[in-house]
Order: sequence, then structure tokens, then C-alpha cells
Amino acid sequence: MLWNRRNARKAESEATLRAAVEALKAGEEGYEALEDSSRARILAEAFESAHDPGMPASLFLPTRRLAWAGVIPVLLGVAFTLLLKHVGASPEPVRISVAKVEGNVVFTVSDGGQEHYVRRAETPWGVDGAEERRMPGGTYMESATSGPDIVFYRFD
Amino acid sequence: MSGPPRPEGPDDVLVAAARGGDVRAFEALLDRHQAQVLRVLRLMGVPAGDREDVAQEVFLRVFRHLDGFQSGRPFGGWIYRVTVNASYDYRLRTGRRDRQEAAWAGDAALGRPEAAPDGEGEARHLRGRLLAAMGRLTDRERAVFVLREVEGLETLEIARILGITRVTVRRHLERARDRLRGLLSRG
Repeated sequence: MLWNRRNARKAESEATLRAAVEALKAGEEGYEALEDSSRARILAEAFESAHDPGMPASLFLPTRRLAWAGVIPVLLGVAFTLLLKHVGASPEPVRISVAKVEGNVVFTVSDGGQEHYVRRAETPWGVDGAEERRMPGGTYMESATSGPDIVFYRFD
Repeated sequence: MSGPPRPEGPDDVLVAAARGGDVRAFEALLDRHQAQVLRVLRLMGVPAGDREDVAQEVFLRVFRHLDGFQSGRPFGGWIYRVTVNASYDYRLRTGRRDRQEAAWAGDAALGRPEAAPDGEGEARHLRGRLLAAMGRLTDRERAVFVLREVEGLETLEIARILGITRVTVRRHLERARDRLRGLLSRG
């Protein structure tokens, strides 16, 4: 009798486990996807690695750390990559600065008054085909509070 | 959005293209396997607040080590391996106790008996209890249980993924099931 009771208990607990596993599997059936921002970060790093294998793999992370530290408050939680391709020789070194001014992000390219253009896209491969915009005075500005989380820029 | 068309085909073809620097191929692999990665991370106890970050780590590891992937082996199996290892690393970083508390707080609520008035409620109740019980397993037991019972992988495949023998897989599975049966029958 003892043996039978033990077996019955085991069968019962096995049935409970089976039912719980089935319930778990049924609950896992919904499609789950990465958030757009995570996806963009992964692809941005993959893009960077693919185009510059010698580059440190942590391109995104230092940017995020800086943001967390408040160095770039406007970009808190946002990663972006600047792709600079400067055409022609310049008598002064090219410098890009980013600042937040009254709810806007302001990019400034300074290299002694050369004319500059910016292209922007939500994916790294979309940048080259994006519309080119002139940067009057080497400055480009856009809202810091609206638009996508991740934006890729190319400055020429 | 402009850009080249996204490549299609079996994983091997996409891996070969991604190895050659084709980010669109990697993107296709990411889209194909992201649900698998997120699901396993959840079942391995990585809480929702950190799951996206750990999933990022998984895919970046995969991309960085594509050259080390052996052609002819299932890419999905390799993803499982990287995902399980990332969940182990996460546990090491955060500490088991903190992670468990964070991971299962929501599930415990799901498992309250009073939340189970009907069939759907009963299923949620069971699911919550099982998830909570899985939090009591060791890393290895849990990984074996998830891969075998939820993901439906064969013993040999699990052995390859976890880098252990088939005998060890069976032993861990048996121990996991024993412990889970005991924990569930107490409720």
C-alpha cells in the first residue's frame, strides 16, 4: 500500500510538472522582438566592426558612459555615430562639437570656414543615400526631444 | 529608407555573407533569432529590465565571433550556447540573490492561487509557480531543463551547446525534474 501511495504521489507530481511545462510553453508563444533602440545599437556596432575591424568593439559603450555621466545630457539613453568624411584638404584640423541649446541638438563643424553638408538616417546604410543638407556657418540643428532614438549622421 | 535588399536564405548562407562584412545579412540573422534569444534569457532568469542589454551582448558576441562559427553546425545551436553563457555571465555580475528577487517578483504575483479562477487563470498560476521553482535550480540544471523541456532540443544537441556529455545532460535533467516536481507539489 505504501508503495502504491508513493507511486500515486509521484504520478500526480509528474502530471503537475507536465501541465506546468505545457502552460509555460503556451505562454512563450507570443512573438518577442528587441526594441528598436537595441536593434539599432547592435547594427551600428556591427556596421562599425565591418568597416573598421581594427576599431575597438566598445564603440557604443563609451558613448553611453559619457552620456550617463552627464557629459552629453541631451543624448542620455541615445547612441549616435558620427561619420565624418571630409573632402579636400583643410588648412585647420576639423573639429565637431555637439551641444544642447534650448531643446535642440546643435552640431558645429569648425575648420576655418569650409562649406559643410550633413546627411542623416536611422540606419548606418541609409546615410549615404539620405538627403544632403547644407550647414550654414558649419552648423546643423535639430530637436532633441522628438524623432527617433538613434540617428546616424555623416558630415562632409 | 535606401539600401541594398536584405539577403535571404538559410542561416549558413547569411552567416557566410555576414562574415564577409554584409551587415544586412547579420540583420536578417538577428531578426530570425531575436525571439529565441529573448525567450531563453527570460527562462534563464534575466529580468525584463536587463534583458535587452543582455540580448545586445549576445548578438554582439555572435557578430564578433562569426569567424569562429563552424560551418555545418546549426547556427541556432550556437546562438543557444552564446545566450546561455551570457545568462551565466549576467548572474555572475549581478549576484544570484539580487537577480532572483528581481526576476521572479512579477511571476510570483502571477502564481497566487486567488488569481486562478478559471482555465486561463489556472495556466498562469502553474506557469508562475514553475518559473519561481526554476529560480531554485542551479544554472546548469536550469539550462538543461529549458533547452530540453521548453525548447525541445535533443540530448546530443544540448550536450554540444553546453559542452558537456550526454550522460551529464541526462543527470542534470533528472535532477532538475525531481526538484521541480518536489517544489510544485508543495504548493
